[in-house]
Amino acid sequence: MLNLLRKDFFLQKKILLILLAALLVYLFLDVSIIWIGFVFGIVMIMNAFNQDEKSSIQMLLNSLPYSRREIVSSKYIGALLFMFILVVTIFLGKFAIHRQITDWRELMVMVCAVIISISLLLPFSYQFQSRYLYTASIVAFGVYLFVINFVIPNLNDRVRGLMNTLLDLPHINFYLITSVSAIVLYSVSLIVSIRIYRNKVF
Amino acid sequence: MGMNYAKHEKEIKQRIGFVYDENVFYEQLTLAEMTRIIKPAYRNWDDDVFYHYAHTFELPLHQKLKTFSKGMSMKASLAIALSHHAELIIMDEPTSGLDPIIRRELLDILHQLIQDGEVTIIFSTHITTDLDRIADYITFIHQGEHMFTKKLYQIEEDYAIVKGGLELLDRETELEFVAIRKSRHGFEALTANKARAEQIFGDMALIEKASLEDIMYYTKKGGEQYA
Repeated sequence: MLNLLRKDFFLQKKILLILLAALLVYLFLDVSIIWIGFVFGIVMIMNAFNQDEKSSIQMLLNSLPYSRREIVSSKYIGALLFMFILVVTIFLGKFAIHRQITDWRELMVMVCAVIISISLLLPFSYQFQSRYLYTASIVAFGVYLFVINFVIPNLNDRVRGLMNTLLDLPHINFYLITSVSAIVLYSVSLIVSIRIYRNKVF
Repeated sequence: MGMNYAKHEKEIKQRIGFVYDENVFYEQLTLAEMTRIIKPAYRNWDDDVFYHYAHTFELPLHQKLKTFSKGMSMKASLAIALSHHAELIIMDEPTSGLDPIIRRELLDILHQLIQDGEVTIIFSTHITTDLDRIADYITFIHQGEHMFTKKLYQIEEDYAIVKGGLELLDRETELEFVAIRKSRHGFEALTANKARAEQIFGDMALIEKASLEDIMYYTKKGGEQYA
């Protein structure tokens, strides 16, 4: 398992360095860290997924003494490590460039957003392939437009309402609920991905 | 190995080496880098053995894997399989698409390995002449169905091609054959019992050694006839 993680970092080390350098530029420009953190997180994690996606690489990994469960779990644990690196870089970068201590709540919202998205993206990519994500997102957006136009016209308001209710909760409760749900979602996603991957043929 | 795959998957994989008919490595890496990734997965990895084979197979360690030819990728896989002391090496069509010299070379290497006796090699192929050269046992699988598994010398002793005039065939003698190919000039058929065929037909028919290709062809045909 540790070897699989090491492999991902070894393969990605150049891309990681480039991404982190680019991240510093964004930090310097003082762009909202929730947004850039989110985008960089997804890119780093999906990139690690993509490089193993070819069926020949899957054959290689499966012929090595790893179980399928380990191959999938390593991606999920790797994603957490990438996020950790991201948070540390943002925190230190912000401090070095602007002499600012980043609000931990902002970092948390960013991490939760990445976790929730990854929880959906990874099982999808295991089931189909990550290149179908573009198609899927266009279709999903169409469905969303259809829903707000015909089915639940005030969907956005309702979501906003729900968010406000959550935000109105005493702070600790809000963050507790969000992080617990993110963790639960992530674990369910891991289990689903393992199920999907177990039955794959390359 | 006496282990259950579901329970001992990793243990079993430690002792098997796979050699594929395509490049299964990360193309952007060099062989040395690729080995660094694979090596920690195996308990019995032996660097000396790896460098020995990399040298014997003339593999460039610091050249990107995407520039490797099919023969080189295969040799790289084989070197890796040998370096973790696999007891069983499974090769998928290793000789197809190789030029004749490399193919011959590879067969010599495999032959050498088998002679040393420490490793068992299973290898699938469509080129039956490869098998004449190195195989001990032959398993014939047709459309997912297992047709037979036999020792190579046994196959040579049992099977034969019988050629003769059509007048030799009747309902009884036809039963002696796996399958028959008739033409205006006579028949050609495969028997799985050479001694018996010799007894029955004696000097009236021509009995020849059957090649693996003949055996495959007639076994398939026979399967269709009696299906």
